Amino acid sequence: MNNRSLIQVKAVSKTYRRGQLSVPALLNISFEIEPGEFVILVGSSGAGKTTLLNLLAALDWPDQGEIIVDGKNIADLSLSSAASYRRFQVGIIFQAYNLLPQLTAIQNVALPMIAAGRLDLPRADELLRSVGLGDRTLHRATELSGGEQQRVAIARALANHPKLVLADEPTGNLDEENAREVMRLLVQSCKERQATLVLATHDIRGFASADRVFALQSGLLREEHFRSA
Amino acid sequence: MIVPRLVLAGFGRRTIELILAALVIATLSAVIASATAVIEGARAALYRFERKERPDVIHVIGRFNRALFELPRRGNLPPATLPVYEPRIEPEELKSAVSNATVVKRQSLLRNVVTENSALNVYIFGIDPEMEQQVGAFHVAAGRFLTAGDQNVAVLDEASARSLGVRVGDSFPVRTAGDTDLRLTVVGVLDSVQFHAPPLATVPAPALQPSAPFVTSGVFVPLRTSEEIFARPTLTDALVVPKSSNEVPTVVDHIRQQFRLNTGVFVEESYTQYLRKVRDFQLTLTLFRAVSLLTAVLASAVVAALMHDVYKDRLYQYGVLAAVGFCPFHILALILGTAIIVAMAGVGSGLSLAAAFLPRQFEMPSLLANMGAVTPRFNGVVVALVIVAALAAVFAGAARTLWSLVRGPVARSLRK
Repeated sequence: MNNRSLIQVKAVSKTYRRGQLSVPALLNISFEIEPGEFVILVGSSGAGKTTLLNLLAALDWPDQGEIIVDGKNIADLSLSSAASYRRFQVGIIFQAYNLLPQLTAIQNVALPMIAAGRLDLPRADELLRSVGLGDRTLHRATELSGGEQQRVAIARALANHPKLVLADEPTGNLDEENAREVMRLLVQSCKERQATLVLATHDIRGFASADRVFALQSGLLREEHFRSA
Repeated sequence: MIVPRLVLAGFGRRTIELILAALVIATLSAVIASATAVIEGARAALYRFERKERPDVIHVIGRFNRALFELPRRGNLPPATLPVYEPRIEPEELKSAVSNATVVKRQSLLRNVVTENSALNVYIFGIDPEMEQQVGAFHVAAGRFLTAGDQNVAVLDEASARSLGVRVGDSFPVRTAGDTDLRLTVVGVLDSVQFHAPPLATVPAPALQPSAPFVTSGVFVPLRTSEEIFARPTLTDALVVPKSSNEVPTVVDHIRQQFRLNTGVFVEESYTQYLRKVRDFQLTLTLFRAVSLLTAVLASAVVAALMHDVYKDRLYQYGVLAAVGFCPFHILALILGTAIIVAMAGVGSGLSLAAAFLPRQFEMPSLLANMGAVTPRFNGVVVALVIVAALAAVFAGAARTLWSLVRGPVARSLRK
């Protein structure tokens, strides 16, 4: 076990139960990720990518195993400690953007700052500029295109200087041009801020810049090393 | 601006449900407020009636003195002082019959002075000043009321004082049973007298309320003075007040048993009739309460269902907030904030509706007419009940969403 690791996942399993039916999503998975790494989780639909990201984001609890992030086991956090973890250490980007439609772009970016009790609208504005949306700050989420919404989501994920950015199929709903641009922005933003990026995708476009690629198949992890240029 | 938008979630989906929920709460609040205000008013009317009528007081009374019917109206006759009721009640005998109950002793007399052209009749009541004030009300316009240690003094109403031509500090004679005159010094004049269970006004006499069928005025003297006038301690009547109203029938039985051989002693009580009236009244109120409660429950169910739809739709938003780091208390505050805004909007409108349209007074049915009109009362109880009902309805609507957020993983809330 490497003491420098930001994330240590130890023998984690997760099974979903729907009535009598049990659907195993992750089976005894273990891996480590170092600070500043860019890791891609790849796998077909239902392979367990979203489940693994949810566990890393403390949005769900594993049935067994430990998930140690920055020295703390997040598998047994209380509701408020999990919220605090997500507030200060993690930025999450969803495939469906998950912006609040009643808020403007800048207000969506400011949400994590409000949660942290340190609203900083100039910084939210700066983040939006950094993702190329300086002229769209006062537009509501519903008035933005899919690519623009995902860029707002990237800005929101970076709002509280997270050590870890988790992105679940961020380009899944975008056309090729927008997907390429979002991917570039995401990777570049994380590199600039030295944030660890764990990205779930089935899109091979980002592979070239990834430090490592983990392949998930039916809840089992197969690691592939990939050295970036 | 962000927090209000998070609480109200913008004017979009489910806004109609929120407005509808507020309207139903307004109706619910108006119904509960009206019903509770009427019930509170009815309770107040009942309390007033109890205070006024004192159904817990038993009147033990000697037979009406026939001599009063035969009083002369003209002629030059010496003054006479006659008992209004026959003096048949031995104080000790009565005390032994009623054990723990309070006995308010009385001697009711009539002073009759007949001259050639006129007759002056004045009622004299020998009373225990402290006990009598517990069952009646005497408002002193000048001087003071009687005290326990007084002797040969009197307090009389303005009408009697005028007839006798006396003021505070003056004195006037009263013929005693021994045919001598006892001078009574006036220590106070009353402008209002509420004498419990007064005798019927069968003899013309000064009166504060001339048209009343019962005696509304008189000269009040301490019991020991009236005993001196009357030359005997036997009571003409007495009031018995049990410790609680429901002891009235038992105490009445005991008194009747005690005086069973004394055919001139009667026991009058209004408790039985009062109880019958009150039972009818309370039955009506219970029915009213039941109908209101049923309406409230049905309306609350509708509100809870509407709010549940709203919250179910917003569960995803609460999930997003949790995902970006909002702590559970902030999310709870947002959920409850929406609920409280809707509830208060409904409560405010409902209370205004009720206050605007509720009749100012309800006349009681004939059987209960002497209880007086019921005036609906908007008090703290009404407002508190309406607020509790409205909050209960909206919180019931939020319960499943709250449960889902507390017990389930955030990831589940994020699934659209």
